[in-house]
Amino acid sequence: MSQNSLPFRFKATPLKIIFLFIANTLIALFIVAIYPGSSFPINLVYSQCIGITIAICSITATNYLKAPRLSVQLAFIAAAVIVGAVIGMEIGGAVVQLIFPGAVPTLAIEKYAFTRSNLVLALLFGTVITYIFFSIQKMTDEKVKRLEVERNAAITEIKLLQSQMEPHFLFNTLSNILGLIDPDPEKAKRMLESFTQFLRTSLLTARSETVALSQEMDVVKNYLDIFAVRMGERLRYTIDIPAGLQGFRIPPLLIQPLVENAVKHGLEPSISGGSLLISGAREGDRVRIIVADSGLGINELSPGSGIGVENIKKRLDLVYGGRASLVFEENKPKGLKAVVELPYETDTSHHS
Amino acid sequence: MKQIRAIIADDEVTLRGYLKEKLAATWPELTIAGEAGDGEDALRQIEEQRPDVAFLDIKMPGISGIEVARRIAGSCAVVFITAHNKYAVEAFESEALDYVLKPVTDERLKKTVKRLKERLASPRPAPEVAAVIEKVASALEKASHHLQWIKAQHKDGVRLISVGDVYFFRATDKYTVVRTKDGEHLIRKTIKELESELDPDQFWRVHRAAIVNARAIHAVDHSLSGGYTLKFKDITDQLTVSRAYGHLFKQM
Repeated sequence: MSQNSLPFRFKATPLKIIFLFIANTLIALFIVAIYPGSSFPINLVYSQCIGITIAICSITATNYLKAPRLSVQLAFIAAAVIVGAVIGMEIGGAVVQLIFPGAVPTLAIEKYAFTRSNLVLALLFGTVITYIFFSIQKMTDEKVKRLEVERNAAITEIKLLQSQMEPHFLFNTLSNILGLIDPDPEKAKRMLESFTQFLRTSLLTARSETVALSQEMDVVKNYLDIFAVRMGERLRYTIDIPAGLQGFRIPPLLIQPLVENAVKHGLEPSISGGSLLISGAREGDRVRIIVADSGLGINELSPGSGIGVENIKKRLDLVYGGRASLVFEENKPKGLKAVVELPYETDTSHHS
Repeated sequence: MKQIRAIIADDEVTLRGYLKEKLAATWPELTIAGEAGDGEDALRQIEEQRPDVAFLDIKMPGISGIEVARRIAGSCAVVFITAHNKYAVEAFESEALDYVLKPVTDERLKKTVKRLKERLASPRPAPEVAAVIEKVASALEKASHHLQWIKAQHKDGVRLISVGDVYFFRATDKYTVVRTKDGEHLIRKTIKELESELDPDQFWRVHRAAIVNARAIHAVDHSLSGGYTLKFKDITDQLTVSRAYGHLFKQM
């Protein structure tokens, strides 16, 4: 998993507290049943004290101690069960002494045997009950997390598709196809093909977690082919991805919005148009993908980075933590250069 | 009868051709006196040809259709061409201005042509054109008057930093430090210059030598002496608010 999993935490809810009391009561009943002659009220006091103390200790351990890994946390929980059992027994003894004077052995040798057998029982039940609570909590956590991941994926997909279905682009393209049907049916056909391919590939890829760089370049190529018809001589483009990076996996529609940005703000508004170079290179454990245009470029008052770009930054943060970046630079001699840097991972196990 | 003449301005030649074809069918008497591929070209042709109608694509390279309309102010009737959705343009449909949506449909074009004919037949010039154009401009052109990008020298190139990515600006002896998530950048612009150029709603002067991006503040700590310290998400840098600017954080 590329996302950090949240640390495990015991959360006290009213329902769980009720469960805890019931479980403690059941333990007392069980002990009375297997040790005939032992007193239920005394056992009840003991098991409640021990159960509550273990619960408090394990809640404290998982909520306030910083543990980097689940294994460390499990060790904390085990320690909490032991410490809780010992303290709980001491408290239980004191409370029993208070309510039923003389019910607890006072001779040292008797007290030792009594304590030892009680401790064994306390640890046994403490472990079982804690394990049950742990499993329930873990299941709830995972469900919440799964729902959140699903929700994020759905939002991302909607946002991506919205950006693909930008009305200006859609209607301008359709107008062009309509306009070409009579005078140049061949060209109209080619444009409709590019448009169909663009819609198909972006709809398909928006749903996947990652795509090969070559797939993303197909989306880009179809997008640019549409603009090549619309802008004619004013748009020239080159895509240069080395063979070794064709299969490199990236989040879908990461580069296309940058290309769209370059066309929309750099090249389309420029009377003479310009050229676009999309290139990729690997440098050690980094992969750099560059979208460079020779268009109008950016001045200090140009509209700020749009929703498309902000969306890319958010997704990079989400998928790679702090290990990926998107920056803009002035292109030489003119225009804008968008540089995406991603970590090169040989381990692609988390990619589907 | 006087011949009605029009010019068509759109950067996409196919779309000009399509509109011409549609116009020939719905308004055969109309003469297309010229075609332009960008705003400057459109202005020049309107100047030379003195047409009765100008069909202007709103989004054109160089000068936009709106700017062309602004400059020719009432010298001929204007019809905007746009791929914008209906709601964005409905606002400026009025007696003075008209528009057609891309892709152009016969039905819509007929309606536009009918209104154009009526307007051209009436002797009095269309009222409030300039005001309507301003309305359109403010609805569609979101030009900012505030600084949106910071240019910072970076290695041998110039890095462009979106102001939204800046946590704060801090003055040093010679330069101003721009703090972003990926580090510090140095620029020559002074804090004073920045203060006057940045959007004051988002960027607050908190110190003689510092401006903070209010949206990037994660927490405001009160110190015992009554001062404030600003904390940010993802970075450990802190910024002290000087006494003179303390009022900005009083409510927090």
